[in-house]
Amino acid sequence: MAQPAEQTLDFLSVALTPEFRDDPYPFFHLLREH
Amino acid sequence: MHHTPLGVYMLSRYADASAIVRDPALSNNERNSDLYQAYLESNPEHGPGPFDDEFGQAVMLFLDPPDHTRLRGLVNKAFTPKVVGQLRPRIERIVDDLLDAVATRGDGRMDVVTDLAYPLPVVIICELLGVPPEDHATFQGWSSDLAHSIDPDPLISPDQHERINVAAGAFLEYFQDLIERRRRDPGDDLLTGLIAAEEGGDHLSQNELLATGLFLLIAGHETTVNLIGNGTLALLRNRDQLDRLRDDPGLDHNAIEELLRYDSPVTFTQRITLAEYAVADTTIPARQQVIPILAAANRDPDVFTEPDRLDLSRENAGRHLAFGGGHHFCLGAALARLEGQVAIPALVRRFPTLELDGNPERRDTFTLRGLTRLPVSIAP
Repeated sequence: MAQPAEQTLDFLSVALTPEFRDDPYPFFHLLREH
Repeated sequence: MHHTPLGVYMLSRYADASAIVRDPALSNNERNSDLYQAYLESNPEHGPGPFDDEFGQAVMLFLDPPDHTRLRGLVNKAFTPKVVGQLRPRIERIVDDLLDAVATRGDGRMDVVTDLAYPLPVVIICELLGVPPEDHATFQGWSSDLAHSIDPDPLISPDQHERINVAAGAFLEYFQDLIERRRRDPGDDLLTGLIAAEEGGDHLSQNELLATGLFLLIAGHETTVNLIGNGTLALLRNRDQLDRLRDDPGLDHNAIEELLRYDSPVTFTQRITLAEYAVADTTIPARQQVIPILAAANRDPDVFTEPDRLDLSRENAGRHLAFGGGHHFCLGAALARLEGQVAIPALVRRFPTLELDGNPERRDTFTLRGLTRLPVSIAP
């Protein structure tokens, strides 16, 4: 997932990115570790 | 737990998500949410969605007991593991026919989605319900558009809203006509059974008949196509595991559980708090939307060792939450599992040199996670 998306927990700003569509799991790990 | 700028509470840990989906104190009816009501008021241009009227309030997915219990009880028997198990020969025959068609085409390639993952569950759920399978060409587009209707509202574009409403209207009209045909010409199928329940008294209203039939048709294939597509892609990207499955039929059952865990067909579900609710060291007020992220829970290292690794012999793979839980546990879980257990192993054994041949394309839904295209080469 691209770096900018990794820096935010804002689902709306992440969900529409192609990186999230391809692989949402880095964001989910970030959410869980928050 | 994360309280998002959207105003919803997202739960990504297994323990929290598992507790939420199993708790009967929470509602599945979005109308009970303050945020949903506020969203409707602040976005009047979207108008009421297809599930906001009386018909929508009869869809099993959005109902709470006792209505949910009554409707589910009418169709539950058709989806028990024992009854579904009797479909195995038919599923094997369809899979063989589909793979035969690919081999006969002889061009050394296939699209796993259009050649196998989509047609298999469509034919099976159509036959169960009593929907003419050849009609799938008519309703495929409507079904695909309606799949967006369970995405979070702020992520649905105005264009998608319009397409959802158009699809809902067309699909309802089609299904009303189908019900009338089945009334005149009953069959040995679920829809005929539901019609008998409606005609038999107060077990089922006309809206509930329509909503239940339509829900089963859509849910019966829009999710399983994702299991077969996501699962095959995961194997193609983890060649050692694909080779293990190809060579060891003893792995078929556990492999599907691991594939359901690894890249789940449904990313998240939703519940609404009806009173103050304590979870993950936080008290959530009443009338709030709570989103257990099933796909995140399934990658929780507190439950699954090395969760990002695909391991078809993972001992606790079956603990995944891919089918949700509680009284809304996926009605079609046994059927989806069986279709996956037949289709994916058959594919990798029939075409042992299977490999990616181009870029897979993801569908543009959020709640449902799947592929629209999975090109592979099968040349010897």
